[in-house]
Amino acid sequence: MAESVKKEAAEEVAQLSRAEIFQQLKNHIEEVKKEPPIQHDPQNVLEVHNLIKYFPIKTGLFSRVTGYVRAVDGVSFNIKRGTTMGLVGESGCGKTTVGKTILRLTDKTAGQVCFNGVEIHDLPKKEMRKLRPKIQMIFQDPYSSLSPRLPIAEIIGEAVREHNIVPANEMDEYLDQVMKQCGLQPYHKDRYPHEFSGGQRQRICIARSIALKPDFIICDEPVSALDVSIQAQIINLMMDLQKELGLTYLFISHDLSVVQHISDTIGVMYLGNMVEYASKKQIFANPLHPYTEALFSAIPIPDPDVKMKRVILQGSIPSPANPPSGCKFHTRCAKCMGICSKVAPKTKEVEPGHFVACHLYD
Amino acid sequence: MSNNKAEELKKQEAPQEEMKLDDARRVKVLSPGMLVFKRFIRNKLAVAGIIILAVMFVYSFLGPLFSPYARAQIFTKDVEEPGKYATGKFNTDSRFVGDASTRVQSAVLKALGKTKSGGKYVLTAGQEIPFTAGDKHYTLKVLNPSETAPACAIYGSDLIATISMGKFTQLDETRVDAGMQAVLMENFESGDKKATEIEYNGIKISAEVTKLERKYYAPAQEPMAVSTFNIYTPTLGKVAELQADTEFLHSVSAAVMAGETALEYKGVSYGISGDAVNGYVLSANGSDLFIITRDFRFGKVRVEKEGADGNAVTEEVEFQSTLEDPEAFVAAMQAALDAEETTFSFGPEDSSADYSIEKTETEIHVTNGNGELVLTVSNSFDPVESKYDLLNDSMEFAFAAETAIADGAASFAFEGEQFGLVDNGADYTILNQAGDDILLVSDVAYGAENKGIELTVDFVKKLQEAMRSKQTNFSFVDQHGEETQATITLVNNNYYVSTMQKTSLIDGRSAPSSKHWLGTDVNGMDVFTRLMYGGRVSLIVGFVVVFFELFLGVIIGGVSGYFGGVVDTCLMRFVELFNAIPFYPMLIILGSVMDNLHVGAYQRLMMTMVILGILGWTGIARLVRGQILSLREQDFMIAAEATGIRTSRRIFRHLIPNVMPLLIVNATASLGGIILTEATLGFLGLGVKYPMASWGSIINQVNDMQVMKTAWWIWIPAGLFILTTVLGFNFVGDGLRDAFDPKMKR
Repeated sequence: MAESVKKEAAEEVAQLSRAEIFQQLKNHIEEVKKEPPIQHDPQNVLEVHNLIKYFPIKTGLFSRVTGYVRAVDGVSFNIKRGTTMGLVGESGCGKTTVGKTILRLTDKTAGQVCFNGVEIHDLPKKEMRKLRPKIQMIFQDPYSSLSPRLPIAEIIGEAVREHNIVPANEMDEYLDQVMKQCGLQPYHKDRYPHEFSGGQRQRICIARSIALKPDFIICDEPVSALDVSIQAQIINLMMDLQKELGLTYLFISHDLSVVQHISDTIGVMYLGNMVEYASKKQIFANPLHPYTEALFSAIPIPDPDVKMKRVILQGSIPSPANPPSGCKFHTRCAKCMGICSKVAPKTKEVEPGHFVACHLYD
Repeated sequence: MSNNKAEELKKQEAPQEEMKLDDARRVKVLSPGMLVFKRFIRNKLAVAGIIILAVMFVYSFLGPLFSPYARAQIFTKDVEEPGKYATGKFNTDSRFVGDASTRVQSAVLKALGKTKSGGKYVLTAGQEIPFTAGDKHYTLKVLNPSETAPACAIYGSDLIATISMGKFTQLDETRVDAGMQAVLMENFESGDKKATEIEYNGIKISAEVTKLERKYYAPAQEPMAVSTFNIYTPTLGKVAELQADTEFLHSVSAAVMAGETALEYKGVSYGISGDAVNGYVLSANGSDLFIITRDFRFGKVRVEKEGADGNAVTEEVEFQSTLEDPEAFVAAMQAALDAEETTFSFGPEDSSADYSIEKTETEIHVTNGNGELVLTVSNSFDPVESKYDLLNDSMEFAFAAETAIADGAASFAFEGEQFGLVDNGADYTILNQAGDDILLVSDVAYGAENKGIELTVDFVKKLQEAMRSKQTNFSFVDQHGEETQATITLVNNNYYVSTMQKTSLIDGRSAPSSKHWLGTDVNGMDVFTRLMYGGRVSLIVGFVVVFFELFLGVIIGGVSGYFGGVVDTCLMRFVELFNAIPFYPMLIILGSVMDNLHVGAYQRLMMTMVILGILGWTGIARLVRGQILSLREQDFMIAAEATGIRTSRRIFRHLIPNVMPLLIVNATASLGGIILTEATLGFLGLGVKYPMASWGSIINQVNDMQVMKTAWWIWIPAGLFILTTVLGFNFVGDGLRDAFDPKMKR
């Protein structure tokens, strides 16, 4: 039964040529661009609405755009001040691209990214530069995210000086304070990154970010390169800092246990789409989307006596350049229906604050 | 001493104090530069490389300041080689002294030849042989009836009378008397045209018969030429020696000027006689050596002339050309000198000018009113020997001498002077009144091989001796007064004399010695010095080319990497275009083009550097581009952007410092490569040219098989220098790379 549906869907996909899909996407981008600006809720630090990031596929001698890699395909979420949102999903589902697009390190294709009610991507460059200290990022790889030629004080203090965060005469003290806050010793100042361990380096990265007194920090898998004991230290450090400084985090990770530990709300992404978005409690208590279910079933339980109920997904994640039609997940979904391959599901609020995009809940 | 020990003990006893985490010693961090330096000097190979390079630099750049030799100084050595010195020959041709035309000479030889019998002359003393040459009648009178080398006097004929239309005209009163006239008239009237030989009172008269008249000739009383096989060699030797001694001439001049009649020089007394007008005679031991006469040399004066544009122009002309009668001027000057006046006037009465005479130690200077030196009078020395040289060409002397030789006389008189004649068996010596040898008479002809050789009397004597005694070796005193060994080779009756002669040869390929530490090369230049200048060129080429490559490579690679996109694509295609140029064929073609255009050595060096730079920057451009492309995507660059750091700061604080070490390492390592390339070019003969040198062009000499086999000192050191320098650069490059790499702990 399910196989025949899949076949049908494949036939329908085959009916649409590449050029037609390309045209559809272009039309979709135009539609999204015409959407009216969203209402700003002062509670929210960040409001993302229908964010689209397509990377063009260029072919031929003159690099003509013939298609798109749909890295982020209509993602919406809000983050309240002082909370942490966890963004989970498989590798390649577009989590990091969401983070970088929010930071305007890559330009969005369409949609809205509002930081404190300001559309980031519409700011002139000068204004953007002024805004930069407010939104910071912590990178996954603590080895490549520090310039090997600069001493620690310079790495942390460079942008502080650049943006005149503190007066020049208080600079030293300020750096000492920030470093202590992040668990670094002031005498580390003159050392070079290669003299530090991974955990220490990540502390340096955190220090670099918080030294700018930001409101919002995007943590792009900040602990996945560290071993477990260090992970805990860093996570705790981040949580402590959040309490102390009232920071807001967007915590990107594929490690669900870490996300569970730190997040207030959780978004689950699959192939550029936000498939489910709810508070931590709701989503862990009642995962609605089949993908979320499958994902959460993979969380190891540290008790050998408990028999795990595993939902095994078939196949691997499809290419974002040529995603399945309708619901992108339907090719791997155990609960796939006829409609899934034809119509893309809309995001619905199934219970208050619990959003899901699945035809099961129509 | 004991104090130190006590302290040491104390130190050992003192408990190891625990170091705090923020202890100054522990916290002290070196600056990045210092860190690199420390890491670098900890690398033994790198230090070895630095030492090698330092030695090479000192050697190449400071060495030439201390080297006693110049860059392209060519050394020579004196070699003694047997060389042709002179040729001797027994004279088998008659030599004519006096006024004998070639026609007469050939007639004489013909007449003498007729007397030959069995290859020998058959003659008697005093025999007269009449012969004709052209229309003229001559008589040959045998002086010396030798079988092999006869001497004869040639007499012409004097017209003594003509008979025309029966009329007798007497032309020589002393010889034509009435009797002769009667005999001649009889001959005329006989009408016998063939009766041309008449004898009267022992005088042989010949008649020339024409249609209208008969001319009668009688043999001349004085000979016109002498034919002899003897050669007269002047033998008065020491004069030439003295003439070459300027100090001697100077002292004689001074003595003459001072009016002295005697002087002593090097223990020999010389006498001066005569006067200023007729010349002085310098004599020693009774024989005259020099005739000293005054030599006039006119100076230059400034004269105003009308130039082409009509303005007065001052020109310098020889004073002599301004005089109408230079001889009159000299006479006036001499008159003033004789009167011991210091001034005199000369010129037309209305415009005479005053001149002053000034005597220096050896010269007389005459100056005009403007103080210009118009005339210098100095002494000129003519060897008296030249007087005897004249005798050589004097027919009368030859006649007298040959007659005396034929008579076996011990002396003969000539022009009032009595000459002695000594028979040495094969040759004769003629002495002057003072008893000096003045001429050697023999039948040996000789000639020097080239102009530089003056044959000494001793040589001539010894040569003759050797020729006669058929010796193949003899020794003689040459023109420089040195005893010289000579060897004779006989070829076709010519005796070739060769001696060991000094020749200056280029001292090429000489082995290492204390004078030339690494010997000399093919061109005779000092290899050790040449290597210094070669090192300069090689090292300078290396550095300049690397800087040129860095300049182009960093700009193009940096622009390409940082901006990316279309700019990157275009620039990289451009780089590929350059990479597609075949390197060595291009260089070889450009090298031969420069050869053809005769580009100077210096320009050639410049061109070589430019070409190497232009063909070599692409590697660095790619390297820089690649590095910048990869750095641009590094998280720390994104972090820098995310923290809102300015673009310029991002480039100069984050990007460039991360590219620099790579560049420095690469540049250092490629320095070695460029030195090798330059050496290759030099080796192929395309690099720098003489008089410049590079290590490669020095090795180029190994193309000569002989050099490769025998003269290792020419090419092995240059090769070793290239090897060690390139190794040095590579060691330093490696050391720098390790030192710059912060990941390398310790």
